[in-house]
Amino acid sequence: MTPILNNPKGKEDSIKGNETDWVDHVKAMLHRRYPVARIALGIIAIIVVMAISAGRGAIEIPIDVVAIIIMDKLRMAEPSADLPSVWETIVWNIRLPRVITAGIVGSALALSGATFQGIFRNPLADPYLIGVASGAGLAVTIIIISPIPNYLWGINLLPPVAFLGALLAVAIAYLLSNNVDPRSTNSLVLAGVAVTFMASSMTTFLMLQASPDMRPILNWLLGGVSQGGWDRPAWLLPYVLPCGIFIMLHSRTLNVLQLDRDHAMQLGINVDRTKVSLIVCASLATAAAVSVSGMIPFVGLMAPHCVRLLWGGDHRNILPMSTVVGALLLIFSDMLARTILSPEELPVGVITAFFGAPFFVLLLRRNKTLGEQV
Amino acid sequence: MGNLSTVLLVLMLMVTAGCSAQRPTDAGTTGNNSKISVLDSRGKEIIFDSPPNRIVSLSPAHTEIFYMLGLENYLVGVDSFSDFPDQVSKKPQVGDAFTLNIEAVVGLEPDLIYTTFDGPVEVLEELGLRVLYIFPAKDVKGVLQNIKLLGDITDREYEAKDVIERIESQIEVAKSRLSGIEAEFRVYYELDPGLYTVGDDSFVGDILSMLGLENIGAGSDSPYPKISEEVIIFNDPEIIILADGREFVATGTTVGEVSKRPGWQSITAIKRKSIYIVDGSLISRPGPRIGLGVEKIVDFILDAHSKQS
Repeated sequence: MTPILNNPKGKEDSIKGNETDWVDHVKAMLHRRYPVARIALGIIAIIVVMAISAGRGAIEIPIDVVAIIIMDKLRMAEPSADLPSVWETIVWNIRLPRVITAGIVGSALALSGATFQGIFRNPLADPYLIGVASGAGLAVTIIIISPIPNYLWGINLLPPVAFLGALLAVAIAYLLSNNVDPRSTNSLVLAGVAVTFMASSMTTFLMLQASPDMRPILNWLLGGVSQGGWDRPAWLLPYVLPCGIFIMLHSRTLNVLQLDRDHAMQLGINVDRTKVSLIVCASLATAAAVSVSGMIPFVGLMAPHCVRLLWGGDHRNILPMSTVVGALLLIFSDMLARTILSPEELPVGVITAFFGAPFFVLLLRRNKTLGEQV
Repeated sequence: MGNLSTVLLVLMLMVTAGCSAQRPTDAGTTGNNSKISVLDSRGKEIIFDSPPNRIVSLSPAHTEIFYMLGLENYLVGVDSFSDFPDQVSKKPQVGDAFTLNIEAVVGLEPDLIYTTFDGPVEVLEELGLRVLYIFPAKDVKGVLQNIKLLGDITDREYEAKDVIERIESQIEVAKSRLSGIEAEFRVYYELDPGLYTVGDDSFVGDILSMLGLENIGAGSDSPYPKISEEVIIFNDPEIIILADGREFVATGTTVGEVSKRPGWQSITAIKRKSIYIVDGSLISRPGPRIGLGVEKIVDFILDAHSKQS
């Protein structure tokens, strides 16, 4: 975190060298700048939506029963013997891990989206548009097809492999665009789109090669947060949580990066290093999400833009609130995916794309200056 | 991307399951002497002056039927999903009905192309080729009808009759073994670890209900639904049949993995170890080995019955 360096006032504080000043400064900053109340409300909303969602599905379970089952499992209440044990299994082993996975994946995608949009100063930078997600997808496809086991010494190989694919994709995009014009953010997005198409075509090729065993890959590519129980959130958190914290701590830096490069450097920011570390973190979060849930498009685009439209463009607001909105969005989409055709299920990527595509058009039409911001 | 993939997935399921019929086959034969006229599934009349001797089969089930009728030497090309009997791997492949290599088909100079999917029909006909398009059979009766039809047009009536009688007796014997069993077992038939199963309106679903099983996937509208995990747990199947066992599908699953799925331990079939692996092509393919498939399922029912007490 570099608030001291990038804030002239903070610099003065640090020169004084008084620790209590520094603590006061952080406290004041937290209260003044981060929308603390809004974030708290958002977290409450997530918990409420998770509880409601845990009751909805092919088997409807009343929300008070859901609450009792969760309290019971967390040893906050006496076990109640009169509930059907199958309800308990469904809520605790199927729905709750699924809903929580949806929340984490949604947050990860939305936060990565917001970060990429901030770094590249391009409103269309979405993990799915700049090659990160498809790079991760290609890497996972290779592992699924190859005889390499998905687990090694009890560790799921997919997230780290997806991360390598994601980094490779973003590195290629970065190098390609650097050769064109290092200052232009448009060239990076265009290079990213090229990488996306390249990786997608290779994925399709591999899938067809693997026919008739392409169903598992298709299943995974179509995106979904179902199945797998508590393992899935357990795979995700070690990747998403540290990345999320790192990115959040750089919200002020991202604000400064909205100025031009020279400005940011004058303010003492090592622009390239900061950019690279943020890109790495956002790619890692995306890769973890992709490795667990496949391709779920548009969340990384919809959530940050909703936040911007509602509350403006300060990253101390955009980053945490995108995380909240992304979680809500995917929990809700997954709920639709399993209820619309119940007892059948739809891939959740179909739902997000269904909402996402019109949203995208709406965004372009409503905000005509959007293109000029680039 | 998402939508295209969904379509692809559905098509894949249809092909590997080998059936997609929504409507019954309305094929029938009429004719005298050697001239035979067949009404295909579009209601179009296809005329056979003489038995075809350069056949391309675009359906794995019908490739099997051609072999059973001893027409091996007349089969000049097959689709890429045709994998039985083993000798079929020596036949030239022309892609599958969905990604058909038209040039390869034309190059084989066939005098009959048999397909259960209407996609390539028009293109092939415009090239002057004779195409017989018949919906995949929807039930065992439909399979038998198809065998008879192929026997008629290829002048193999007696061979066809033999095959039909053998299948009928296999099924009769298998069913009779179930005579002592009153219970209706609940069954979950897994096509894919993504929880794709069979609905009422599918060939497999029809066989399951013919054998007195209560299919958990029966509630859905589509023939091959992807169902919610909780539906399986809630309906508590007493028999789980895996058509996606790793023995047959490289990326499939195992009995051990299914037993360890989170939340599945409450399922009766898992508690009693009534989980069975089957070669999907025996049961989901409306071909001449369907009698063997039915025998397998009856074995499973009897085993599950013995574990009940």
